[in-house]
Amino acid sequence: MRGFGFLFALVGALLAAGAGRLVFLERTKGDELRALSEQQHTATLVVPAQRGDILDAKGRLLAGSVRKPSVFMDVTRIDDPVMAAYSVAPVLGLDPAALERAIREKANSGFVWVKRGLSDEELRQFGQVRHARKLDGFGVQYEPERVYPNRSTASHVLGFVGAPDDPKRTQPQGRAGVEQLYDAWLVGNDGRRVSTVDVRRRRLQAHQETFEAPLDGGTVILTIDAYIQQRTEEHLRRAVEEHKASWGTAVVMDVHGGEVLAMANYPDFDPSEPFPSGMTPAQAEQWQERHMRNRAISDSYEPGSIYKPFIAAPAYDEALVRLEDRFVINGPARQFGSRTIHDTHPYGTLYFWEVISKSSNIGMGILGARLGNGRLHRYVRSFGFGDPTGIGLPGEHEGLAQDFSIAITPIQLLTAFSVFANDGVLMRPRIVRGVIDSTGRPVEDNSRPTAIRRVLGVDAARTFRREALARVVLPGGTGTHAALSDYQVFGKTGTAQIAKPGGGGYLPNAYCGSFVCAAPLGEPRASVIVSIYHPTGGKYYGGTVAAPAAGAILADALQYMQVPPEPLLTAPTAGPASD
Amino acid sequence: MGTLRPEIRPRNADAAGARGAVAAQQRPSPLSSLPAQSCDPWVLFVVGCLMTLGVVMVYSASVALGGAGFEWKNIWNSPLRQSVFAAAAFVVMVAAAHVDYRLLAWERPRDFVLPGLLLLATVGALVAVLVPGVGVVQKGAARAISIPGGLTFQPSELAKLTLCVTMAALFTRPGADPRSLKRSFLPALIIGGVLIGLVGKEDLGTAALMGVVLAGLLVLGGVRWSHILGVVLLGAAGGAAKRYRLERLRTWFSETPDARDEGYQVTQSLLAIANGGWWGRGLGASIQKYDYLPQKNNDFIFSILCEELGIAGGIFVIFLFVCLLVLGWRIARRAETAFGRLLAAGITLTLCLQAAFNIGVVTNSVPTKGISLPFVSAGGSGVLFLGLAAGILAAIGRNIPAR
Repeated sequence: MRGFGFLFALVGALLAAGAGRLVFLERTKGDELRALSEQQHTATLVVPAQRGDILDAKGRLLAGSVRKPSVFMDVTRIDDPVMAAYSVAPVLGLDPAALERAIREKANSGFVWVKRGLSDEELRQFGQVRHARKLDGFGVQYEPERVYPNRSTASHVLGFVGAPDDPKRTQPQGRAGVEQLYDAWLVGNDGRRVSTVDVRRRRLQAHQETFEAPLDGGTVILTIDAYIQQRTEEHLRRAVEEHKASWGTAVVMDVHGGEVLAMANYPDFDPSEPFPSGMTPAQAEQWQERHMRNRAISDSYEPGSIYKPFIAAPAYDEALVRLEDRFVINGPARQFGSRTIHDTHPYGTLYFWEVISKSSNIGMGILGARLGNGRLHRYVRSFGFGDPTGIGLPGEHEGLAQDFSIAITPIQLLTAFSVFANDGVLMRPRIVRGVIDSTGRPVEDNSRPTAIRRVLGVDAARTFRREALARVVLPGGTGTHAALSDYQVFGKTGTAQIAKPGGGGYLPNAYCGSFVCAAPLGEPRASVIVSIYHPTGGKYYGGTVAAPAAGAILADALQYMQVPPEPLLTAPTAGPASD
Repeated sequence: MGTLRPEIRPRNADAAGARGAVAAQQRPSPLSSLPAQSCDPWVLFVVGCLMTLGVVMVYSASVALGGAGFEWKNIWNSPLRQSVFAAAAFVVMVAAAHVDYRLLAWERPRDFVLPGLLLLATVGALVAVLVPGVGVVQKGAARAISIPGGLTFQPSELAKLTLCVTMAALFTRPGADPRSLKRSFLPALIIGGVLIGLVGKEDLGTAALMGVVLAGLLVLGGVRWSHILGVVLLGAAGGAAKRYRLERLRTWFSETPDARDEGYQVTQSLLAIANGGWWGRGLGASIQKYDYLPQKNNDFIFSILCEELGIAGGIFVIFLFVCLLVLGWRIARRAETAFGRLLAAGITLTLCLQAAFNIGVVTNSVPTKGISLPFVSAGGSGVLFLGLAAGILAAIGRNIPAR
């Protein structure tokens, strides 16, 4: 036959070319194509880690995480908007007409939230309806949600979480307080599941998959005690509302360990919804300024007469004055160098302790002059003024301690005052006790008290708190409203004028009334500071607006701490008191 | 089985054929020294290997997610369906191998009845496909007729065999003159044109294959070169007529196939082949079969085979087809009649060309055509008629002792 051999050879060559083509493909493009295929049939699913808890000193939950079910829809897979809307809306408590409109308007969207945050009952009913009516266009996705079971309790300490800066991050990010400071520990490590999938992205059971388990976030344990915190907040709220003040702040501290047992500010906010919905940016900024500042650490003010013990005690410790010394005041005014100092009442002569308990400015001037500028400044810095306390919360202000201008934060004042209660030793205040990661390993241990320095001698501190500070609370002193029936309180009042913003004098009739105190006198356990800023209810002295709240807080704290009662001191001779 | 009719040498057997026959008788092959056999067993063996491989691969490619457990009453819808067809096709092949192929020849003036009936039945079936309600639409084209029992029948598979039989009969009929325009060329062209045209209406891949085989048969049959040139030009013009053929050509010529449309299948096919590497992922371990490759068990079975058994497995399949080609070549050279020679050559060319086309498509060497891999791809009528064709080839290869 003509062309017989040629035709068969041609077909044989074609078949051989097919084999050659296979080899050629493998040699030239094999790796490239395999990589493409790998990419095509591999799906990586991020398994989010759960954000860690924040606990109080007794292990009570202050901030935790739950998985919140939310319903979404793939509108492209909804065939009948009416049927879908009128099936789903009733069980979710939505308006069917509105849902139907949403389905029609977003006809091309593959992912639209229907309702976020379902109750268990809603989830159960939705599951039944979805299954029964084959509503494949709807699905449930679990989202992590941060919960604060005690609502606004310790809100300024805890802070809050918000949308992350890094869009790839699956979890919210801490935006204030402990949530922000310990974000790295709280966030944990996301896990991932790498699986082989079919063309419709369904996992192939028969193929191996790699699973990397998520490491949940660590637990942050605070020194805050939720009970003391709540009592403190309650007393502070009452004081601020009663005296119609702009704001108030209160801190409770364990005097020996420096542990902050409560830190409250009022007005406050709910960390689960830090900004009430529907705010303009300007409103949000105003809200943040008014409700969200942790004023106990971030706002400093001129202390006023609450500062007096920190000058008088060093003078006593340096033996520049004796307890039985009498000061010739001859008020109501006296010239010290270029400055004239006034007292509110004209005093003749005052004992050393009366200078404190009656808060005489002229007496203070005499003590300051005896101490001298150099030693005075050294002691002021020694009490910790002008330095951050080291409490380690974001936004702490270090205050100001120069020759004639001084501005201090409530936490600085309380830390320094605790020196008297702690027999002369300055402790570093602490609010975070430690961090335990999700495997149970302690990763940060902050539970040991840290002494910064000895400021006063033991005897000086004990004598000063007994002979001077305790008399502030006894009849004739400025802080009698803080007196308790079971414990001898010792403290100091302060009523500071509010400086004009930007400097240059003071606002007229604007005061910040404060009271700092501790108890019991014999073996002090807790110290408290309460500041009430710009009260407008007519009263403004620290002994009037702040001392009652401070005493109430102290009483609740000491009872809760099961501190045994002690005998009270007897009242000395009474006399007029200034502030 | 004995011969039913005495051997009749065609009057116009060409000199080369006569010389080949004489040479074969002078140099006995190892096979011819064996006792007389009724068919060529090697064809049955090679085709049996391919069918077995087909059953295994179709089963593997069809078992994907969601497959229910096996039940006998569901066998018709299970991946084992192919094994029933393959078994039936093997029986058909063995039976055909034991029937005298010369029943189909046109050796005496009135012998044209059987090839004529075959031609009529084929044309009738091809026309029936085009009738709405009778033809079953699959993948956008009506290619099959439904048969009671949930089966379908693709007349184009029969048309490939019919073309070989009618052409062989036409060129070897009494008084045939291949060089004559009226007596050989025009009848061949008309019959071939009708068959190819009817097939090409719905299935251009098979039509193109038949066109190439027709051209080969015209050459082998001894038609004038000038006539053949005309046919080739005509065929090329007809092939370019449909728009979507041009689309496929463009896909092929572009450097990387468009992964979304026409090129999707081919891209996925290349990924499957690459996934397998030299030695394959292992039987059943294909990933592309999870619907990445939609036609995983018919037209693109070779890709899945390469993915699971590697390039080594692919080359083994090609080796089997080369074996078939060599066997067909031997049979065609040594057949006793000119009809047998032409028919054996036609069947062998059809089978091996189809395999070469299919492998070319799945390796992105030839534009995408709907064409299956003979004996291996899933399909009922396809494997049955191919089995029939292979049986006839084996029958031609029977070794009859010289008179």
